[in-house]
Amino acid sequence: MLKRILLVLNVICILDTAILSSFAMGQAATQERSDIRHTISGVVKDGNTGETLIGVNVRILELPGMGVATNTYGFYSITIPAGDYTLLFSHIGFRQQNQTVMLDEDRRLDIELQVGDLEMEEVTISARVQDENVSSSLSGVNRINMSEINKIPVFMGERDILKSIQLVPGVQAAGEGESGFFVRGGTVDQNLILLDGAPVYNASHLLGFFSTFNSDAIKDATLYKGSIPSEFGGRVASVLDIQMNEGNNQNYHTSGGIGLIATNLNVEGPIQRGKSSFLVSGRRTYADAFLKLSGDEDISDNTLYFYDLNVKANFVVSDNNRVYVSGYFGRDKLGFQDIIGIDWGNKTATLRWNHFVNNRLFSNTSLIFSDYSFNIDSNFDGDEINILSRIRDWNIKQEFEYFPNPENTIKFGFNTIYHSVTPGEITVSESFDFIPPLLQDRYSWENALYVSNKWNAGQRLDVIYGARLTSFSILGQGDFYTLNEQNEVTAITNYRPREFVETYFNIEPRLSAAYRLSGTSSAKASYARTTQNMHMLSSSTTTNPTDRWVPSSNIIQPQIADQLSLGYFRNFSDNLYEFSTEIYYKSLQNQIDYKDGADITNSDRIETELLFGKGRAYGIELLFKKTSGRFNGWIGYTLAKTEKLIDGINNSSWYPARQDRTHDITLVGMYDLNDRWSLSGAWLYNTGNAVTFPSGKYMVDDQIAFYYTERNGYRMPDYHRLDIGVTRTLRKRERFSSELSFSIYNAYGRENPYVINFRESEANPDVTEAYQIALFKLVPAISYNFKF
Amino acid sequence: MSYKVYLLFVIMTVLSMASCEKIVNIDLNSSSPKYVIEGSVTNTSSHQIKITQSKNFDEENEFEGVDHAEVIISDDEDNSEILMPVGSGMYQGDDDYGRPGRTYTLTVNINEETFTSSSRMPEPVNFDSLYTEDVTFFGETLKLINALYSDPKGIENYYRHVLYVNGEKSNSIFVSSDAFFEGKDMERPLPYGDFEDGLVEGDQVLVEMQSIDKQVYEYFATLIKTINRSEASPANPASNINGGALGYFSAHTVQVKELVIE
Repeated sequence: MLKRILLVLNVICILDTAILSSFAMGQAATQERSDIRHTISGVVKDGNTGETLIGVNVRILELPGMGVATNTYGFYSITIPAGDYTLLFSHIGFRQQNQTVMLDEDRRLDIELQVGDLEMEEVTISARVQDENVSSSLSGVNRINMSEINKIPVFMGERDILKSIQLVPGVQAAGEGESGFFVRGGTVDQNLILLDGAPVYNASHLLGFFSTFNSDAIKDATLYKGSIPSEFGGRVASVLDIQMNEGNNQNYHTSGGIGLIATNLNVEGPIQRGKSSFLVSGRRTYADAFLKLSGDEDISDNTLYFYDLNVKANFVVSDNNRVYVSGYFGRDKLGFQDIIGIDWGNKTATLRWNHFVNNRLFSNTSLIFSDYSFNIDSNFDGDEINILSRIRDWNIKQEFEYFPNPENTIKFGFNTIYHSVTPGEITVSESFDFIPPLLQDRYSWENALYVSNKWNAGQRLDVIYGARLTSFSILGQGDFYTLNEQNEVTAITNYRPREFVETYFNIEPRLSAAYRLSGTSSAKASYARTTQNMHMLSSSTTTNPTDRWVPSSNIIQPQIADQLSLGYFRNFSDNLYEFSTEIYYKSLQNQIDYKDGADITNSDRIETELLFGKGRAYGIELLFKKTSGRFNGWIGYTLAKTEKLIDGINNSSWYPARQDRTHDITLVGMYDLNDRWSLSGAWLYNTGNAVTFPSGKYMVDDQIAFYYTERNGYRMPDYHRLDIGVTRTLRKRERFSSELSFSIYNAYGRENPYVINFRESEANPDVTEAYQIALFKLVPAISYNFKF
Repeated sequence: MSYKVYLLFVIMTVLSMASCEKIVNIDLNSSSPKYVIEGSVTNTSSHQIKITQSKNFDEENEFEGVDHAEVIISDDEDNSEILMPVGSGMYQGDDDYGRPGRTYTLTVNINEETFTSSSRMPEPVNFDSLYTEDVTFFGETLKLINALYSDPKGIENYYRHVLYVNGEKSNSIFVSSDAFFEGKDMERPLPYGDFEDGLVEGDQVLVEMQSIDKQVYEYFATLIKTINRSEASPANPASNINGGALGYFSAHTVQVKELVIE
């Protein structure tokens, strides 16, 4: 304990001195050059659409090596000595813009960048910009290129951001066709998925075959799997930060797509030209339309569909104030005549206020609401049962970004969330002679205070350091349990509404550094501690709408992960090729697994079904990528191991976690044949999941039962498949463009097992046999996309 | 997760993507044989114990009995009885039946190993009636058997139903607890077969209702999961036998009702 306190104090000390010294350095620099410093700040936008641009590089010709990038809202600020300067604004896919400035006072300079439409030009324009992977001080971070998503072959013709992320090294699909994913040995619930800052608890439709994100409505997505910045917290494996488009504030545009299973339509345009804009994007499947065609009432009375609706509006209130309102609403509906109806989905709403406090201080205030619910209604001859489970968050975020000088960018802020979890509220009609089981609602209050500084420590070294102080309070009302060694309840304590049951505090230091070895290579290191207080319990191997979320309790302790990673990044041929390798080691505390035969859906005393222990994950990731040209693509490879050590499982020795996969290979290629045709292909290979199979059999109750000796002692067969796609551009004009895409999922028809099971042989009852079920053998799809 | 199966079914049908099932060869480890003990003490028959052994997965489904064990059943009234082997791993007591309210202890000695277990026979709950009901799914009608009984107030009760159709025991395991029906009339549906091979006119149905204790209930409730492999991490059922044997020991009351499908 003492050791831990000393460690924490130590970290605080280092942070303090580092922040102070960076202030001091900034001042020292001032005195050397000039006594007077001025600030130049502004917003960078896309000239055509009015959308603000994220991550635009802003450099100064006269001060080489000094530069900043625009933040998530397109804002930048540089404070430099008075003088005449040339500012260079550059961004992938846009023409570089040079602006001369006479800096004799603080200046506001808003920039509109124009799209570089000629391919040749694009290459030359962005040549020096695309070394982001080498120059960025973060490691283990993937910016998802939205135009790449449109080229990669897709399942059932639905472009999908979560499926594309799964092609990045260190990220793997949770299963066949799943939108759930594993990051560096983490489980699906250890990923924080934010849509405009709102957590999305279940990001999948139709059992995971499609994700909830309609890629036409998305502006930017960044996956943090290594150095997680201190403004993010609450999950131990990764953060996927997704920003929705704001809407074109210059002109009206409509785009859409018609696919085999769904149609989507997006409309955007100015509310008041140049000042405000809106975006509405919707998607709905029509599998149920086929059901309706059936003459058989037993089939046509059934329901099966999902839909998504994204809405966003933004208003430039004044030069210094901007307000955004955004929302997402999506739902899956499944009904069997009037007898049973099941629906589930997410609702999120974000109200955000950007305020330029002054030209060096940027403030961002958000009010966020997030709701995930799962509902079953059944009606058997007038006996009605309704089961509702829900998780609801109310969230306030306040963040400041302070730009004291070009060497330092300081972020600080707080976040407070009130969670309420309804694990399963059952109501029955009076005709039912049944007492519904009670699963208590749980309430908790999560707080975080954070600070970080991005410090440009000279020509070669960039460091981001910071910390996040978090608290998680479990609140009444409700019964909380005390357990003995045998996991039996020995005492029950009742708490009043809003009474504090328990509060957990954690300090999460975050550090990442990049050292430029040469103009084209860098070495990076990062350390991050992350904690997690919302845990998902799942009784099946796949993503399921019934997966149960439980907050930390007096018994379930916060999960804690410490991750250390090192990376080497090297670009070749003027950034045409990128190579990177990263190694990571993660140590995890308070990991959860289930005791044998655990019942996690119906148990209110959920803690009696769980076992706790520790985990570790380590691996190496390699990526070689060709970034541009007619042919581009990448090869990724991951070698990894993920294990758990839990008292009571496998004689309390280390065993592979379910998501442990030794080898993982991804090959992605995209080729533009000519102006009209483009081809793409993706090949994936990975070692099968760890799984529990029997090691014997016996006869009990006159039937065969299988005998298990250890958990996760076996492997599913290796998984591999090839997807191919062809896109034909039909028309490409300023006013109207359209294209037709063909794709084949699992082109060589590999039967990858979805499940493997065991039974008495149907052919010969004297023996037992293993059988597998594969979901998709070869799935062709066609879709039509348009834009005007 | 029946809705999930249904959903998959609909997806498969609507999009006509054939999901394919095939027999595969999985290299499973071998395990050293474990003793499997199944024992019952009832209020309507003499004590009976069956001892067999587990096998490797790739061996034939023939489970030889263990006939050289010493099997003793005693109760909390100082009665004790040695059960005699009658072949095929079966051990039979004399004509002494079990009595509700008593706790029975089983001791099995095989070579150097000893296995023990105990179970308390609950008071019987009256098996009120057995009837069939027509249920319609997808326009087809299925005969569903229901067992009706009244749960006594104020105590925890656990039940098991064993279904025989034309003298053949159904493989389905039916156990229930009164957790959500405390003190109410309970209608326990006992589904049998599907549309192709459900119950038809003339079928003889026999249902044995047992009042069981909590450990035996938990054994069967987890045995269902083991057999269905419905969990992400399948495991052995929660046995009430100490010493490392598989199986269960149950002291329970028995009532029987019969009907003929019309």
